[in-house]
Amino acid sequence: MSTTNRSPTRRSFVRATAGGAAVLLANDMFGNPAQANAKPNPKLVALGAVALTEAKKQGASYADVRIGRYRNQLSGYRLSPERGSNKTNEVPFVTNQHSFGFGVRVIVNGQWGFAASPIVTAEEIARITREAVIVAKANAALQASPVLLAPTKAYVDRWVSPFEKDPFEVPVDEKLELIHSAAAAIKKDPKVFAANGVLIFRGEDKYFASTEGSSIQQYNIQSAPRLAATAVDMQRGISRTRTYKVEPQSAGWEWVPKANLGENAPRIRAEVLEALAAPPVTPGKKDLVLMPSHLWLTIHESIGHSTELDRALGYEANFAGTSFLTTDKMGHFGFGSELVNIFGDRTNRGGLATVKYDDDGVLTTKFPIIEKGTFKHYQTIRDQAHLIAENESRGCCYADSWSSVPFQRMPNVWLAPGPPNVTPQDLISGVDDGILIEGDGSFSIDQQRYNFQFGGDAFWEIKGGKKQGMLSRVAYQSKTTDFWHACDGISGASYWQQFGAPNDGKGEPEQINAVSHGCSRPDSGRSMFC
Amino acid sequence: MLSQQDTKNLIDKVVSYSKLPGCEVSVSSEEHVFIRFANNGITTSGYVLEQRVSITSTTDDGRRGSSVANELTDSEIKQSVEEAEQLASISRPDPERVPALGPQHYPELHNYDAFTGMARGDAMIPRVKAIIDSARKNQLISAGFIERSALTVAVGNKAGLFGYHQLTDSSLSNTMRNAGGTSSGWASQTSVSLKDIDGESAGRISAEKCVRGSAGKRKLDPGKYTVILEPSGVSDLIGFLNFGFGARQAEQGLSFLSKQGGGTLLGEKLFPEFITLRTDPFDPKLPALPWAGGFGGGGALPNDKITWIENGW
Repeated sequence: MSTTNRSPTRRSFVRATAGGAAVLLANDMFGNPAQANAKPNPKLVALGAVALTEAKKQGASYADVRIGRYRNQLSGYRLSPERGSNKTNEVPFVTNQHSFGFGVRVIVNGQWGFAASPIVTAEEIARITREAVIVAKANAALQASPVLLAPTKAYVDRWVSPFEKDPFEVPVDEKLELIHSAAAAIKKDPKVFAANGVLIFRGEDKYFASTEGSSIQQYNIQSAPRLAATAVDMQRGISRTRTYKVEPQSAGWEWVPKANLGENAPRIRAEVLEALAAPPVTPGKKDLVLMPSHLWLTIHESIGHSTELDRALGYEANFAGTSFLTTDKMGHFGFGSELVNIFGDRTNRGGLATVKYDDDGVLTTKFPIIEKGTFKHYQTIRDQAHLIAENESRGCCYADSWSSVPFQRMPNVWLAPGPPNVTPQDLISGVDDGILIEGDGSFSIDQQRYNFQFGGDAFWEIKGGKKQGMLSRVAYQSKTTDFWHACDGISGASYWQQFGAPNDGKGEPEQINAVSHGCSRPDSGRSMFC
Repeated sequence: MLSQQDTKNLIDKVVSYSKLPGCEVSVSSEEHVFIRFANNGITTSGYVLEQRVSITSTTDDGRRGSSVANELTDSEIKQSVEEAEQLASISRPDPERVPALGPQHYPELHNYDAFTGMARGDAMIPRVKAIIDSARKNQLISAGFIERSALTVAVGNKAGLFGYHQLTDSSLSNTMRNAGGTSSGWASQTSVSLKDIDGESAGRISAEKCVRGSAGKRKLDPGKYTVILEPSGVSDLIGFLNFGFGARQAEQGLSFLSKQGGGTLLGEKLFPEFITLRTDPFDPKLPALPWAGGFGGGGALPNDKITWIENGW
């Protein structure tokens, strides 16, 4: 296949970038979500129809199109010494990012094809659809088995994630003032070397249409504030950073004041200095009390990834890895103790992966992954369900951009709370020799998600049922199933929080995914650490 | 893909809309073609076009604001400039700002390959087929990824700086596994030219590793061992090492190159004599740029060879 005749012609590019009438701006199509009604914007519907009509004309048995606008805003401050002096420099940063384009996915002769472009015109959509068909036809030469899609209903809908105030509408000077004030409070003690504060907001505005009749527009807003304090001991050659990482949420500006940055700044200022002087842990077997700000990552790496069906079947073998949780284990394998109940969920309020419909156009759900310690279900999408003899997708399809191929990504994966009367203090009281861990740190886990090691952000010794001073250089090692079988206490729903990852990587080309992992505070006994 | 004149016109347009004293612009347009395969068959593949313009505006007193957009219409570019200027006007002065660079003489790099820049599925599928054939011949299961990219990048500013470059890149990686899932082998190749990507070789090497692992595995007790790393393994380690070479981090006690008690380890012998580490943007097989780091920290300085470690020093 020759290539030179398929790139956008110089003429079409110039026309598309010259501000002519044919060009439609993202703002025209996505508009103000406050004005959203129950139906997608007609301009988007018309553009989507171009792709679907062209795909059918070219012989596709199935096609879908996603037109998306993605917005990111990053604002913050770094307060740190000037090079070569003790003078504190206060360095602000503020960036707005916009990305707008479309991607078309087709099935021709039983094979997927995909193509995408940032030039959102009817002419380019038709051209790119033909490109996707060409890609699919070429791939049929090396087809392992034809694509089979689990059935789904056709939906016509418009959905907006719950939020009270659009963070993109809040003045940036207000944001900078807030983050500067918190960072300055951290740096107030001259023994603190550096303070960082950042506010991250993300808006995903997306239209999906398929040849099966779906036409769906969704708008999702995410907010993530963060503070960090760094202390340095030049004489000992060590540094420590203490982070106040607020749960990243699918929420608006209202989430920021709830984070109480100003109140937490003095706390992490004191804790980073204590951490710098903290003695190293004595290696041995200890009980662990893990806070939600820490445990989310262990859930993510050991449960979230091991229960992805594409990993279990070898589709991620060359990049993200496989899974020890092979398909013969589904339905009966003892994953953890009876206290461990894990759900896959794209419907829970505030979850980063929460949407009404996935990128296959499937209505999202909540489903059990682990029930009373037994592995029940994988995360699936439409073209995977038949591979494990299931009849419907669990709604886990996602693409991180208009230019990315949709594939199976993790939903919010959360640990159900324990009995309502159990408090974190109850758990600490029951530990004779242990460690309390807060926040996430560096970690390592094998490609089958079985052997792991996790650090953290802050560590406190527990002796005789009481929280003591801070420790340093703590990490715990375990095997996934040993760890979860050792879980012998989880606090109640009042202590449930959902932290998460805004940028979980997977796939080739690599894509990110934002996902939450809610949990209360469990007590995972007898885990090894060093 | 944007031509040199296209990018010049675009940057000139951004600068013409700018009202503040400082305006820095980066432009990129990209074309990616990729094929992903697993379980001895193609799974997904695509053809993707992308473009981006990044604008940073600066006031007289050093307040900065940035915007990034990918709609290159007149109205969107104007809006992006206004947005960057609005952000700059409400930001605070950056005490670490540096003056804008004037016109630069950028080195000529030869890392664009026309064949790669135009290659599509017909050029890539035979390379994938060679791997799958190798898998089937050895009763193994292959999974992998082949990609080629063509990029146009340009930088410019209000002080008259302009740079333009075109480059290509390609890569192939493959993992072979045995049916029992007890052994695997991996191979990877990268080059500016897709012609250098050899599916038969990648398939053979990864299959040999997998078969070798299937036959002779034994439990290794914890302890100290001499390890021989293939180039791709060393490459991964060097990638992490590179995070520690920043002067600021080293001076301020935040790097492995910080000296206990203060200062840095610059000029000290830290490695064996056979270790020399260089950056070489002129290597025709590597997708380097003529400038370093874009405009981050007032950059876009001409790229050059840098020796980080020489004979262990």
